[in-house]
Amino acid sequence: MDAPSNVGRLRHVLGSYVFIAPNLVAVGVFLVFPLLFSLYMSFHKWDLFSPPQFVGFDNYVRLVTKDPLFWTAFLNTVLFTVLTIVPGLVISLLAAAALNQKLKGVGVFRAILFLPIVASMVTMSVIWRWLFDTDNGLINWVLSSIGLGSIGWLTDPHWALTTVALTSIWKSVPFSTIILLAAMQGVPHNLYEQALIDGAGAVRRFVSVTIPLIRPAISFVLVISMIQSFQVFDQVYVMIADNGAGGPGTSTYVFGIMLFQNAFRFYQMGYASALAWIIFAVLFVLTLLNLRMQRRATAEVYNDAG
Amino acid sequence: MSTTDAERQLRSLVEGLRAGTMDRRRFLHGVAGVTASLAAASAVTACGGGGGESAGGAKEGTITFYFGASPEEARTRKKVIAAFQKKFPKIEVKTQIAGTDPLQQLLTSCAGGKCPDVMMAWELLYPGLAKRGVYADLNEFLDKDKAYTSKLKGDSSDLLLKTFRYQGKQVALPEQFAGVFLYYNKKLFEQAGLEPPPAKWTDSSWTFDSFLAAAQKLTKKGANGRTRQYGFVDAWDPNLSTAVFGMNNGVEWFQPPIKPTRTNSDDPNFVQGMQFYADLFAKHAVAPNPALKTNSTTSLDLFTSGRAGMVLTGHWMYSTFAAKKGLDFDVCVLPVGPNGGTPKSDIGTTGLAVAAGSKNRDAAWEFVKFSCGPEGQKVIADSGLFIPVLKSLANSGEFKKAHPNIQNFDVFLGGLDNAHWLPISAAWGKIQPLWNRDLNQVLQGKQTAARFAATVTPQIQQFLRTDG
Repeated sequence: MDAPSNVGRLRHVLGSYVFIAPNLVAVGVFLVFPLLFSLYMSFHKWDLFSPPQFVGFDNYVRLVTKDPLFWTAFLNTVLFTVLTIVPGLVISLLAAAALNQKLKGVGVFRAILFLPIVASMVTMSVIWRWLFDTDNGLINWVLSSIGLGSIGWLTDPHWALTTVALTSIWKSVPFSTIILLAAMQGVPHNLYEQALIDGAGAVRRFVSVTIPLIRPAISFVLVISMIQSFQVFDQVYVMIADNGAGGPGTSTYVFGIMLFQNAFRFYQMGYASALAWIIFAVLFVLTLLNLRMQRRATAEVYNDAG
Repeated sequence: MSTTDAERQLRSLVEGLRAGTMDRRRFLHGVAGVTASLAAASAVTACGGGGGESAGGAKEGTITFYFGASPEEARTRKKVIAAFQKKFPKIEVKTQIAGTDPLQQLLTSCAGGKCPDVMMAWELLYPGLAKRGVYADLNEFLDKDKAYTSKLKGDSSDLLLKTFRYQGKQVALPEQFAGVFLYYNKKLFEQAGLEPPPAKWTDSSWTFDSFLAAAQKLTKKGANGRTRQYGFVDAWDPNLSTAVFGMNNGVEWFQPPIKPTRTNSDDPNFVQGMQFYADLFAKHAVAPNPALKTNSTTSLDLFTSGRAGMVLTGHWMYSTFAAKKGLDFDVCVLPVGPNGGTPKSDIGTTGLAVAAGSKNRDAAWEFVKFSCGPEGQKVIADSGLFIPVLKSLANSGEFKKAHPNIQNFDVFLGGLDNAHWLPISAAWGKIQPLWNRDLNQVLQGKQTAARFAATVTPQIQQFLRTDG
């Protein structure tokens, strides 16, 4: 090795870093630093005003063993996730299948379907809140004009979480549909032809050809929706409009709300940070499980095919 | 440079991109320009809070004023600000209107070192911020301003001044009293053959029983079995109303009311009052249930459209009711329970405070002094929108003249001397969500007030110890 080429390589490397520096700095300042800072804070007691006090694992222990609301939030979040993911996936699959047809004007439908994704969630939540208003909302007006009586969509503790889930489904379907549609378009056409020759009907072809071949896409959609549902906050905060208390009662008290409440209403930054890391850990484990299941399932498909 | 500069540059940047006339160098240059403009604009805003005092002591500079208001209230406040600026032309007042969650807004801006110079202080919310040293001690200014202070103290309600005294500091000067009152529809009362309810705070004849009997007479069901007219609606905060009904059965909610060390929420009399309130919905169905259906807007609609006989809300709704054509209403006192003495309203009040870290404290103080003193209060009295805190103005003919539609005007004025304190505690931030959360079951009729009290009382005590 001779010195000049080493210097040259160093210069080359340094040069590359100069070019990615703006991005690197942004990622460092706005992503890595807050992440590490919240990890650091999760071992402290901090009210934003006085200096942080080191408390070790106390925040984590208190959350899991002494705070009954943690488990309320956990159950609500899981329930919300199930309420959102399952119907969301079914609807997205059907919508993608419908849009995969060679129909006239399918482009227009695709564009319409994609609209919710470009709207701001907060704005849409405000609109949904009006629609779901108990006494003056459009939805109850329609229900009572056909004689069904009105429902306390957002004020009745039995309905509130479901109502928020409905809007989340509405918001998440477009993204999932686009992913699934792209995957469906990648399914080789000859497989359908073979199935058709074997006498398979439309449903059979969908279940036995389409679904197994788009499994990686389904899995991806599941992981993404799960992460989004688990972190739900803005819909609940805006639609319920009780300053992030997760009411009525504890009906919409999800992790996102609990985190907000502890951080910005109770001035417990450390406690809230610990909760954030617990949410992260749960999501991490769920995602790993999902990936493992997907890998096994994909292997089975190829084994079957082979 | 200003934000508009940034906007202009951003627009030309976008247009350039769209037209495809932009190469990379020009693009980067454009982005840098936009960023610089934005940075300059925010720097100007940041400096705006500065200003300062000239050598002669004449007040000048810019102050930010943070307050919560409906559009109509904001107009009255603008009048106060205009009057202030006429007197102090060199002090510029920039306004910031509070969102739905002022506690969180103030907490984050003050923790981030961007506290507004003058802040509205809500009786329930301010202690949490006071505990963290957000507010200046107004005694510092009051001590220097002897003439103003003695005039203010002579003319103010001591209860209100005391409400904003926390840990030895005068955190805010009271600016308005809102209270909570019962309004009733005179026509519906006549139709139901009911006598008008009592209009004196010394009169205890408006008992829970007579209130319920009236509400039952006023409740009418339609042919389809659905209620078409309610006896009562709550357009205030039902979670607080529950406690006020408890207190009107002879027990204070917290003890002492300022910086409380214990709650009486499990006292049998308090529980009885709460249960009476909850039964109005779940058991007697004389009111739409706030735990299941209505919110305060729809409750107001029910009253203004003549579909509810009585409504519980603050003085602030007077002008809305008065503006409604064909609504013949008046105001009366709250009902009192079998163990209560005389009926009482609540000390619902807001004050104005100065930020401890304000760079322009003297100008900020001048604004607080003006708004809470005779000049600012005069504007408020004339508008009739809030109950002024100075007795001379509340009792002035002008304020009464602003309430032409009612006969029982004295109920508003008397409310201040006949009111219960809501807790003035730094723990309120934690108590409130707990209270609201668990009370929901009681209002729904699924749990008794006694069970509720037994569960929440020890938790509230705990919060008073750790966060109070």
